[in-house]
Formats: sequence, C-alpha cells, structure tokens
Amino acid sequence: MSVAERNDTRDLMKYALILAQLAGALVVVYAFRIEDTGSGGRPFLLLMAGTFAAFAVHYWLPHAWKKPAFVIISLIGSYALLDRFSATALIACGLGFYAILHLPIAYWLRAGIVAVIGIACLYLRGDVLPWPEWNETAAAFWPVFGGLFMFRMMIYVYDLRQPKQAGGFMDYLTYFFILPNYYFLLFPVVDYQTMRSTYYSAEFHKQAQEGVRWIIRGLSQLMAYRLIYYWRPNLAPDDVESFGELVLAMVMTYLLYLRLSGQYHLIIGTMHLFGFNLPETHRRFLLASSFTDFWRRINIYWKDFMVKMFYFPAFFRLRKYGEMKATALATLLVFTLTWVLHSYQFYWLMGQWLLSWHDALFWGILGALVLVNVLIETRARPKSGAAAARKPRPVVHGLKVAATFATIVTLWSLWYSPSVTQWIDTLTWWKAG
Amino acid sequence: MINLTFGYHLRRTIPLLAALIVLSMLRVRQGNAPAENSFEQALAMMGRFGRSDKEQEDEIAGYYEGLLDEARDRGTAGRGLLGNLAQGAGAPPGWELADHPEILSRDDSFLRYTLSPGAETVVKETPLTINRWGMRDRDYQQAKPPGTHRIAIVGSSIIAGLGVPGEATFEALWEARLNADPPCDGAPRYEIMNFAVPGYKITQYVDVACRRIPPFEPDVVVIGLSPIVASQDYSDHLANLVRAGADLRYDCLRQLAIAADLKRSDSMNRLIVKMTHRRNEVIRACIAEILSCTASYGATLVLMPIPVTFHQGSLNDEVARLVEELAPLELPVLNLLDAFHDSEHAKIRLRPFDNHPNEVGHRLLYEAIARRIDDHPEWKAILLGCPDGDRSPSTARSD
Repeated sequence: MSVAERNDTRDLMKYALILAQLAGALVVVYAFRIEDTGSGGRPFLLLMAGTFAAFAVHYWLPHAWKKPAFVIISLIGSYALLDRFSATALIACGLGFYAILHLPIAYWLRAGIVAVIGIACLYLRGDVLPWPEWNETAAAFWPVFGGLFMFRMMIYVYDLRQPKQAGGFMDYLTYFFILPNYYFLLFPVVDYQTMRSTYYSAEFHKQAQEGVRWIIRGLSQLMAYRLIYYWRPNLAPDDVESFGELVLAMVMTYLLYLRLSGQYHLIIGTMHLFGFNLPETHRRFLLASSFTDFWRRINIYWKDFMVKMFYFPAFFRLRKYGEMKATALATLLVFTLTWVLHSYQFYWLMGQWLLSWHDALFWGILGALVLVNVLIETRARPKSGAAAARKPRPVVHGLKVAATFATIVTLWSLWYSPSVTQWIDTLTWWKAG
Repeated sequence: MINLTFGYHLRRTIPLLAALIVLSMLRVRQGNAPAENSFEQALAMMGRFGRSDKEQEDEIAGYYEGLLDEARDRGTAGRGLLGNLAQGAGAPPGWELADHPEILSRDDSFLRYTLSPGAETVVKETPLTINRWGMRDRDYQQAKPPGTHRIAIVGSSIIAGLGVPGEATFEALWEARLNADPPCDGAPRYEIMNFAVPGYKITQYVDVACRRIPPFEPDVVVIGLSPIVASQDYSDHLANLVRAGADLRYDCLRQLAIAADLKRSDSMNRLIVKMTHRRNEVIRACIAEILSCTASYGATLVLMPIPVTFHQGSLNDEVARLVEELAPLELPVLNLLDAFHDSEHAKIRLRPFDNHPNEVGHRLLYEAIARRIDDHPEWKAILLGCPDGDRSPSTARSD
C-alpha cells in the first residue's frame, strides 16, 4: 500500500466537522457577496457550493478513483464556468500539447514545437486576424488559455527533461485542469513535482482541515481587503494633504495585496480538500525582516518558480566565475524576468502589454535591494562547522521588520501610481500648496 | 499525534469562522438599511463590490486590481452554465423582452433597435402596448396642441416600466396628477412622453434627444440617469457601432473613437477595454451634446437620477458621483435617488429574479417627484411651465 493510500483514511466525525465548516464558509460567501463583481448572478457562490458538494462525494471514493474523479469534476467545471467553445478548445489544446510532448522524438524538438505554438498563440492573442467574428469568439478563450498554460506549461516542459519526473497522463490532466483556475485566472504558479509529490502526502483529515483553515483565512482577508479598498485614501497629489494622510494612503495601498493573498489561500485550501497537500502561498509577509525574507514570504509559489526555472540554472552555469558573481547575476536575471513575466501575464489575461517605466523601476529597485541583501547574507553566512548565526534581539528584529515594511510600502506606492511623476508629486504633497 | 494535528488546525479555524458567521448574520440582517454607525458602515463596506469611488473617479487601477477583476469578467465568469443558472434563476420562459422579438425593430441605424410602433404583447406577465411613435406610452399627436406643455423623458428599462401596467408607471401617474390637479393658476395641459427604451445606453440617449424628440416640440427634456448609464457595459452600443463600421454620427463620439483607438477589427471585449477608463469622458460628452440639441429646439434639459431597487447604497452613490461630475454643465437636477430609501427590496422589485421596480416602486418614484416639486416650488417654473418662480438651476438641485 502506497503512502498516499495509507493517508487516504475515513472518519465520519471529522468528515462531518469539515463539511459543517465549509457550510459556514458558504454562509460568509453568501452574506458578503465574496468575489461578486456585480456582473450578474452569483457564479462564485455556486462555484464554491459545487466544489464543496464535489468534495463531499469525492471523499468517499476509492483511492484509485480519486484523481480521475478530480479531473472529471474539473472538466465538468470548465463547461459550467466557460462558454462551450472555450471549454472544448481548452480541452483540445491540453490534449494536443500532451500528444506533442510525448511524441517519440528528441526532447528539444518536442519542447521547440510547443514553444513555437506558444509564440503563435501569443501573436494571435493580439486580435491580429482580420475576422472580427473570430476575434470575438476567441476573446473569452485567450485569458483562460493563458491562465491555464502560460506558466505551468513552462514548468511541465522543464520537468519533462527527466523522464522519471514526467508522471502519467492523469498527473498531466490534474496539473493543467484545476477547477478554480477557470474562475481565478490569476492563479498560483503551482509546481508540477510539488503537486505530484504532495498528493495525499499527509493524513487526509489533517490536510483537509488545514485547507479549510486557509479557506477561512482567505475569506477573512478578502473581507478585510474590501474595507481597505473602499476606505483607502486616494494616493494622488490632489488628495494628500499631510504626512499622516500620505502614510495612511501608502500603507493601505500596499494592503490591497490582501486580495491576491486571500484568493490564493482560497484556491490552495480548496485543492487540499481533493488530496493535494500543497504548501502555503504566503507566509506572514507583512512581518518580513529583510528584502530576501520578504521575497521568500510573499507569493512563495512565484519565488519557487523563478528559482527553479531561472535562478538555479543561471547560478550553476555562472558558478565557475565565483559564487558571489553567480549569485548577483542570477538574482538580477530573476528580477528582470519577473518584470517581463508580469507583463507577459498581463498580456495573456488582458490582451495588452504592460511595459511602463515605473513598473521597470519597481522591479529594478526591489531586485537591487534583494541583491544587496543576498550578498550581505552570503558574506555573513557561517562557514561549515562554525556556530550558527545568533538570533537577533527582539528590538533589532522589530526595527528590521519596520524598516522592511516602510521600504516595501514606499515601493508599492510607486508600482500603483499611474506614473513616476505622479508618485513624486504625491510624496512631495506640500509643494502643491 | 495525527488527531492532535487535525485538532491543531481545527482550533485555529473555529474562532475565526465563528466570528465571520456572526458578522454574516449581522450583515444579512442589515440588508439595505442605511448604516447608523461605523461598525454598520464597515459591515456594509465588506458586502460591497465593484470599483471603488477613487478608482471610478480617477479611472485608475493597480496591477492586481485590473487583473483580478477585469480579466475574469472578460474571460470567464458568468458565461457558462453556472453563470446562466445564476443569472436567469427563476425567470419563466417569455419573461424577458428578448423573448419577444415582435416588440423590437432591429436595423443597422445608429440606434440599432427601437420599440416597434403599434406592437402589442404581454411581457413580464403584463400587457405592453407601444404607441404609433414607438413609445411605451399612450397615443399622442406628433405636433404639440396649443396650450400644452410637453415633457419628454429619455431613459432605459426602469423608466420604460416593463412589467408595470401602462397607467401605473411613474410617468403616467405624474401626467394624470398634473392634469387632474394643476400645479399653478393658468397651468397648461400636460403631456409627458416616455421615450425610454430598455437597454439603451447614454450614446443612444443622444440620438433620441437630438433626432427622435424634436418633431414632438417638447418644452422640457428629462434625462433619466440610472446606474445602468454608469455600468461596466456603458460602452457596448458604441462598440457595436464601431464593429459594424457604422457612422458614429456625432462629432464627440467620432473624436472619442479616435482618442481611444477603436478599430473595427477589435473584438467587443477589446473595444470595451479601450473604453473602460473613458466612461466619465463619454458621459460628459454625451450630455453636452444633448444640451446643445435641446437648446437648439428651445427645450430645457433636466437630469433625473433614478435609483435601483437593489444594492442601493453603492449603485446609487455611483449615480450621485456621476451627477457631481456633470455639475459644470449647470443643469437642473431632479434627484430621485432617495425614492426607495425606506423600502424593502422585495416589496419594490418585480420578482426575486427581476430587479426592475414594480407598481409600488413606480408609485414611490412618482411620489418622490411630487415631493420634490412641492418642496422646491422653482421646479414648477422649470419643469411645468408655471409662470412664477425662480428658474435658477442652482436652486433646483434637489439633492
């Protein structure tokens, strides 16, 4: 019996407890119209109710049926949430990619074909064809296509280099066709190997309860987000009239990030219910004590993706020039690509490139800060056998947290400003008279 | 150990969940009632959705705000079976206007569709008659009879009053009262003409005010501003015209199309994206164009913000902001946004699945108009052509 099968236990009492909490979560979604955009109907409420009902049935299935059942639930979900053309086209694309990636030809050739298709799709995403009817039909398809494949396909192709890491057809389907992804197009960049290796990797009720905990935490963050969003003072030169207002506007602008954090908690928590014991996506990022610490705590999946796909490959190639240089260059590469990939993501989801100076400035400054931090940490790292670094005193730690928070808040305000000029005008509000 | 771990997560979940459920119960009990203290305000705020005032005003959104809402709206939500189930829940076949093609005349003109003159049917379980001029109203002569004061109302579904008997719409009630109980000595005979067409957007209002209305020689033109005017899809009529390669007819719209780089080959979604942050600009330009037209045929232009029956706080606030945005035009504003103030949502809407006002809702709208006129006598001069009274628009801002 495999570890996953051993962990897939049944306990009526815990099952009932989990269901009761999920019912409570539905009450909250209903009462506060969570994730309701006002575009009509309550699709998110129905999605959550459907997902929880699917969990209630999925729980009792024999272990061997669970992955196929998850895929079936996801595929049904695609037709429930998308128009028929988009759902069918997505499934066809997924199957097509799988067939290409498992052709009996050299790895680089298979990867090359998928890359060429990806570039062609990027081109088509710009409504370049002279047929408005086709562009119309495809307009609803492309964002979801991007949401499913834009990053995860890179990881899958990368992992495919090692045949033993390829997994089976069912692993492929569970990786790309994840139910909440049809609704949440901005999705955590889940790692393929992590998804495979954490499947029922802990006793199920424990991991499901952890998932429920994250769902509830996600809901509370989404509610807090609404307060912040609607009460946030405007971060604009005309509206800021004192230092206090400036600080409040900047801090609340940073806290808008709770929306993304809340959604990611909901998504990963939901996946826990179906056996995917995935790690946390955010870990107390407001309490980061350095820029590297911040980078490790906020959007952990993104950091892991960048490290796996770009940092390590670059670092190991550059190590012959010395560890410091390799670290510095690999870090710079990671932040440059983070900027480019945020624009790439924006293009897939919105259909327009986002390449602005203040965006580049934000990622450039953050990259430089993390780089300096990494270099300091690398120098200060104790040699093997030496005593471990001492834990900083609480006061020092507190000051570090405050300084990191203040810097990130300032940077974030730059990122959210429409332009660098407006940002500077806001920071120097007193000049406006 | 395993039980302890389950219990560990459980113990950290329950207190937060319990708190959220208590807040949920308070929120449900609160409903649409106005918040009386900071806590109630916070509760209402947590139940709000859509763009904030700041972003509406500034037409900006951060990286994630744009991606999280707009990408999803455009890509997926509500388009599949689930969206259809959610949206149409409970509406019987034949309920919607779209189920009655005989009522609408569609063509390639600027307006794209009008109400079919002389059509008769039953929509929303209520008889619907369209007069020979394509109005949801009783019949009128085209030329204004001597001694008659005409008011033309432009708007969309709420004003058209589908699902409410013709004689019970607020416009019909108002007309009946004015003629039964003249507002002033020597008052003329009143005709209030309902030019509202369900689904019309602000760009269509321009054509109604500038082309359809003038032959009827109105003294006053009232523009009904409901939240639909400010809704996310405010630009779909303009986008449809661009996609069809149709003439945009008005210089202001042509200039907007150039400024927003609207192309015929763009998908509807792309066109709407391009227009998303130009809403206020478009509305300002359209109202200015209407003002110019009404001035050319000697009619007074009045703005009439009207409320919705649901989520009154946030959506009505949006209309109020829009009116503020139009303040530089110095138009009289007959504000009805508080008409449903003390009413329960369920009692004023047509059905649980249809948020348009029912007979009670229309009566409340009519009563709000009557109250405004009684409270601010200058409206008698501006709206009703009574000989006395101060016609200064600034004193006629009834908000």
